[in-house]
Amino acid sequence: MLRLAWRNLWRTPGRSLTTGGVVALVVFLSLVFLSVYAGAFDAFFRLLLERTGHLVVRVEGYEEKEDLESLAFAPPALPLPSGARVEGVVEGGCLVLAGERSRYAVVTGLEPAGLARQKNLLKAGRLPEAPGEALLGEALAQALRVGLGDEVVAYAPGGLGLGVYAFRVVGLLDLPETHLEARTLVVPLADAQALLAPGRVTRLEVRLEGLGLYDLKPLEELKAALKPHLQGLVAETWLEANPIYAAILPLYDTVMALYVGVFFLLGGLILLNALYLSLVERVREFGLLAALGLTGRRVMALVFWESLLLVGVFALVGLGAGLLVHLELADGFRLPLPQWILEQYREFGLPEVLYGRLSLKEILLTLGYAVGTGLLAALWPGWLASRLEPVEAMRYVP
Amino acid sequence: MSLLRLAWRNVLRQRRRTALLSLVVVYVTVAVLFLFGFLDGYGESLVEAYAQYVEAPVVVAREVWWQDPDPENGFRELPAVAHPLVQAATPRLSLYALLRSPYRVQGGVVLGVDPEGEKTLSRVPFKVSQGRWLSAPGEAVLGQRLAERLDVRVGERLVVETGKGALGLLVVGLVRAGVGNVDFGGVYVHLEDARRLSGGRVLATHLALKVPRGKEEGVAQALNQALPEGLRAQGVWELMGPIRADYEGSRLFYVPLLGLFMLLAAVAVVSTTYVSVRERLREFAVAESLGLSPFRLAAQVALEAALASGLGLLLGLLLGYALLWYTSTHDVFGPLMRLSVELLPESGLSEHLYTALRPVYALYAAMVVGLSALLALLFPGRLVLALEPTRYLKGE
Repeated sequence: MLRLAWRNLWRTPGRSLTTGGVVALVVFLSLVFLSVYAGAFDAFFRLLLERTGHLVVRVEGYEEKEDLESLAFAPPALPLPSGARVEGVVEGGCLVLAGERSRYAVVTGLEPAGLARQKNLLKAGRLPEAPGEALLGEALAQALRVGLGDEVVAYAPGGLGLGVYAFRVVGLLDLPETHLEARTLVVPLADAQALLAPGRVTRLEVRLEGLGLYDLKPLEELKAALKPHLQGLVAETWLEANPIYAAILPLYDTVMALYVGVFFLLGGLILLNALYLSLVERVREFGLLAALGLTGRRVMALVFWESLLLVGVFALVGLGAGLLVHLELADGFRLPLPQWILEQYREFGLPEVLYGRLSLKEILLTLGYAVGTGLLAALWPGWLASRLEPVEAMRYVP
Repeated sequence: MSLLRLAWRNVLRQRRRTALLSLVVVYVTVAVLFLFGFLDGYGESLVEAYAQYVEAPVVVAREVWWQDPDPENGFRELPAVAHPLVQAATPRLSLYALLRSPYRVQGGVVLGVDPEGEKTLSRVPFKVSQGRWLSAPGEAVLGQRLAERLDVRVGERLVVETGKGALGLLVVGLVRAGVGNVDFGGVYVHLEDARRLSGGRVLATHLALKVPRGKEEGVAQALNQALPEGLRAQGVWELMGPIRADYEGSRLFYVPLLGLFMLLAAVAVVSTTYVSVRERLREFAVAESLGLSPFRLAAQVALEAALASGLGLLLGLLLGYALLWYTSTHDVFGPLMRLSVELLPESGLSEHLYTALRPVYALYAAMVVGLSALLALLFPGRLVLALEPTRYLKGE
C-alpha cells in the first residue's frame, strides 16, 4: 500500500512537487517564525531577570503599601545555598537638580556587586568608587545639561533619610529604553540609604549561578527554604515579581499555536485541493481497484498514505531547511527591518541582536500540525474514493 | 463576450473542484482584509490617541525645544499661526516635576493648559470620570491610575515641585481616558500655575493646533514653509513615540507575508486549472481546428482561472467585510489592548482597538485574481499554445 501510494505521488511530479513545496515552505516558515519569536521573548525576559535577580524579597503586601517607611526594611541574614548571593537595593523617587534645571528620577542604591553589573551599560566615565559618586542615565544628564565631574543634587523629601544629597557624576549609562535612561540615577547603597532610609533596603535580590531562563523549579524550592527566615517579608521569583509579564507567558504558547495554525490552514487547503484533483484524475483507476476487490477502507487508506507521504517527506525537507536557518539565527541575528525601527524597538527592551531559540516543543508542534494537516486534508477525498461504485467509476468521463 | 460565457460555463462544469479552489481564495481574501483592517485600525487608534489625548494633531514649538524639551526653551511670546485648515489653537506649557501626596512621591510631566482652550482640541477635558475639569489656577486634574499610585483623591491636595518653585494644588478631577499616557501619567494644571512653576519666564512651551483628520502632516509641512525661523511644526505621526515603530514594523512584516499568501492561493488555482486543461486538450484541439486561435484559447484558460478565483474573492469579500464590520463596531481586542496598556503605559496605546473598514482592501485582495490569471496564462496556457490539433484529433 505504501509503495503504491509513493508511486502514485510521482505520477504527477509537477503537482506533487508544488504541493509538497507549499508544505515544506509552511513548515520552514513556521520554524523560522517560532525561532525568531522565542528569541525576542527570551531577550525581553532576560532583561527583566537581569534587572530583578532570580528571587526578590520585599515587605509583605508591598503592592498595597505606599510610603517608603512601610516599604523599607532592615535586611535579615538569609541562609543561601553555595553559588547564590544576595544584594540589598534601595529605590525611591527624587528630584535631581543641576543649576537651573531639574528632572524627576528614580535613585537606586546598589551594593558593589550591583554597581559592577552596570559596567556593561557604561557609556562614559567609570563606576562609583567612593561615597558621593553617581551614575546618571545619559538622557538624564543631557536633560540636566551635566557631564562627567559635574555636581547634581538629589532632593527626596518626606522619607526617613536626609532628603537631600549631593553627588558628583562619574559615569553615564546607556540603557536600551530612553524613558528609563531619562530617570536613572545609580549611587552606592550607603548614599541612597542616607538619602532615603538609613540602614534599610527596599528589596533584596537573590542571584543564582547556572540557571536557565525559565528554570523556575529551583527558585520555588529556594523560596520555600527561605520562607521561615522572612519575618514580615515575602520572596517572589522574578516572574512573580513582574505579574503583568507573568500573565503573558502562558499566552505565548497559545498565540504561537494560532500563528502557526494560520500558515497550516492555508497549506491544508492547498493539500486538500491537490488530493481532490489527484482523485478526480484517477476515478477510473479507483473504480478498477474496487472492482478487483479492494475494499472501501483500503482505498481510503491509500489516499491517506498518499497524503501522509507527501506531507511527511516535504515536512522533513522544510524541517531541515528550517533547522539550518535556525542554527544561523541561534548565533545572533538582527530583524530585517530599517535601522530606525530597530532603534525604536530598543525602547521596549528589545535588543538589536536577538538569538533564535527552538525547543523540542516547537519542533513537535510544527510536525504535529503537519501530520494533522495531512490527515484532515485526506479525510474528504479519501471518503469520496472509498464510496466510488466500481461500474460507475470505470465509466467516469471528466 | 462569448469567450467569457464559455469560460464561465467551463468553470461551472466542475462545481466541486471550483468550490474547493474557491475555498483557498476565500481564506486568503479574508486574511488580507482582516490583516489590513487590523493594521490600519491599529494605526488609527494610535493617531487618535496622540492627536486627541497625548499630544495634538499638529504642534508648533521652537526648534531648540524639539531638541531639548525644557521649559527654558519655550515661547517668550506666543507666535501667530495662520493656516486655513487650523480650526483651533491653544498654548501648553510642559514641565518636569515632582508630585507629592501625603504618602507618596512620584515624578512626571505636568502639562499647563488653558482650561477653555483645551476643550477646543483635546478630548481629555471630556473624559473626567470623577470631579470636574480645571477652571481656575490652584487646581489640578490627574490621570486616574496616577492618582491611585499617589493615593490622592478629588478634594485633596497635591504638591507639585520643580527646581524653581512649588505649589500646593487642589485635585479637582480624575481623568479616565483609556489611553495609557493620560491615565497613568496625566497631570493637568492651569497655564498660570505652570508658568509660575517654570520660573515665570516663558508663556508656553508649545502651541497645540487642531486640524482636520488626515491633514496633520500636510498642515505641518505648509506651516513649516511659513513659520518664522527657529520655529517648527510637527504632525501627529512625528509626535508619536517609539510605538510608531511597532506599527511600521508590523506593516513591513505582514504585508510581504500576505503577498506570499496570495501567491500560494494563485498556485492552488493554477494547479486546478492545469488539471482542467489537461482533461480538455482534445476539446481545445477541436476549438482550434474550428478556427479559434491558440492565443484566444490561452486567454480563455486565463479567464477561467480568473473567474474561479473571482468566485472565491466575492465570497471572501463578503465574509471578510462582515468580520471587519463586526470588529470595527465591537471591542473585540479590548482585553488584549488593556494588557498592552498595562505593559507599556507610556507608549500612547489606547485600551480600545477597532479595525478599519476601507473599500481599497477589496482591491488588494483582488490581486489574487490577477495573479491567478497571469500564472494560468504562463503554465496551463502554455499547454494550449503548444497544442498540436491534428495529433489530439486523431486521439493519439
